[in-house]
Amino acid sequence: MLRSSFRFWIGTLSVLLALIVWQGVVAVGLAPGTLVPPPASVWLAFLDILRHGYRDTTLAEDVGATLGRALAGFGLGALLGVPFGLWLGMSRRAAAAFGWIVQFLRPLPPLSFLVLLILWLGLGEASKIALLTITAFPIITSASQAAVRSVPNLQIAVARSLGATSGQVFRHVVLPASLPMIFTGLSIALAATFSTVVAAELLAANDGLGWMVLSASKFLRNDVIMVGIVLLGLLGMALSRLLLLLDRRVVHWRGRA
Amino acid sequence: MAEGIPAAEFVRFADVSVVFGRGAASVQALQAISLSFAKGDFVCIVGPSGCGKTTLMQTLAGFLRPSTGAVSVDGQPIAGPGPDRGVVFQQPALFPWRTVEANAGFGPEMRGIDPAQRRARVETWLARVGLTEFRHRYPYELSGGMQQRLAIVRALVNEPVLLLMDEPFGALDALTREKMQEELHAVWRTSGMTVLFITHSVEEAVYLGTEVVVMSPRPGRIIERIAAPFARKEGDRDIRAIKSSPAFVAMRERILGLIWGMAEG
Repeated sequence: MLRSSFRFWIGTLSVLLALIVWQGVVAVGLAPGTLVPPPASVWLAFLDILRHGYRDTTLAEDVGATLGRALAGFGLGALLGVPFGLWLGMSRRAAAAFGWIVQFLRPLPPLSFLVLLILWLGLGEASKIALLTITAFPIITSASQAAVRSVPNLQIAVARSLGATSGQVFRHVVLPASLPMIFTGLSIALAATFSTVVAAELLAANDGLGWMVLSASKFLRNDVIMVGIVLLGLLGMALSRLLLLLDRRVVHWRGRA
Repeated sequence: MAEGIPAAEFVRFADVSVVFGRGAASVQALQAISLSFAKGDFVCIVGPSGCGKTTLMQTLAGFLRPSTGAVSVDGQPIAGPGPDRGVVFQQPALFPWRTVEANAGFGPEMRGIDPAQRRARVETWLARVGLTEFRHRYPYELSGGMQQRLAIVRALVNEPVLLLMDEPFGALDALTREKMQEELHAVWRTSGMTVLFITHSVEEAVYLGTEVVVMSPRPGRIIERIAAPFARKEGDRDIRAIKSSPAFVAMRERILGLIWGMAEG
């Protein structure tokens, strides 16, 4: 295994190299700077937006709008999906009743609902958060359901023979034993939610990083588009990193038991 | 002990049959098993794979209801799993999200036993098997032998009247296995607990058991029941000396002969 400081420097070096090549391609005239804005101009555009905002919105507002929507949708999806999935995992009857609906929702591209949601809930936040909830919910539900199904029978048998009631078996065995798979589901759902929030903002929004990218494209501000893309990527990375840290803390036995 | 129950029928399998599946695809796992034993006995069950040893244990543990017949402990029919019957499997089946200490105290914690009493019991048992210094660790930080010790302690902390063990030492190396045999024997001698012990190892059965029950497959039934004198032997408990004594070897070979006979027949 590589030492973590070593891995950090390799990663940094590779990013630097990519930036240098990118800047070089424009500098030697292989690509026009207006079409492919080099890192230096992207940086300047970033500083400009940081200071003066972009078209009546500050950068903090745009980042906050995107982050807020993503987290609200993801949070609602988790709040509904985890208990619902656990229930489907515990009850064969519930799984039979709702299984098809969840399986129907899961492979659908969530954006296909957006127009309907806007018609039902309006152009405001409600329709976007609903869309993101619909994105996260089936992923989290099916992961939680599968998690319950995969709890080792032996652990349940041992708990029962030690005197645990069915409620205690659920709380003290099924629930903790399901955590690794639930967390895997959450991280997949988080990535899906984040890519959907950007797409939703590209279609219908007045703020947010996705909206900034779309708006910039109308004015051929490719440097601003790049700023948006870079920020979105960094934000997405940070979110999954946070969830990974939480995962390591909560599911400390992952891969070791 | 309940009134009117003969001492030799503390545990009683009365004409127990188990059939898995239905119709042409059904398998008779156990056929008309009748077996009783007394409180304080250490009963070992041996037999080739598929002879229904585990199925028999599961009916006593309450995980499986017999198709016909009944199983009872102290005159009480088995209705399901319960804390009076501790269970240990070949896999330790520990709870990896709980520390060693919290694994050991799981039973009393679920049953609402006073925390001070629970801690005292856990402490005593962990000390007895040499796990005290690991009490704040997690199961995945222990060796295989220590994990199985913890699984046994988890059952014992609950103070069951019966300990059911399904090949508990099957996954351990030879040396650890013999050490665990000695430890288990010492626990049984001092506690007076009743043990039903399933094993593939005839040597282990003859060494640990007050009785060895030999089962035969397809369908699972009892073909012989042999009283073994070594578990209750007083005095020198040198495991190697006992296992190499002529009387021990003779009994081991006789039982192995029975099992080999089945394989040929």
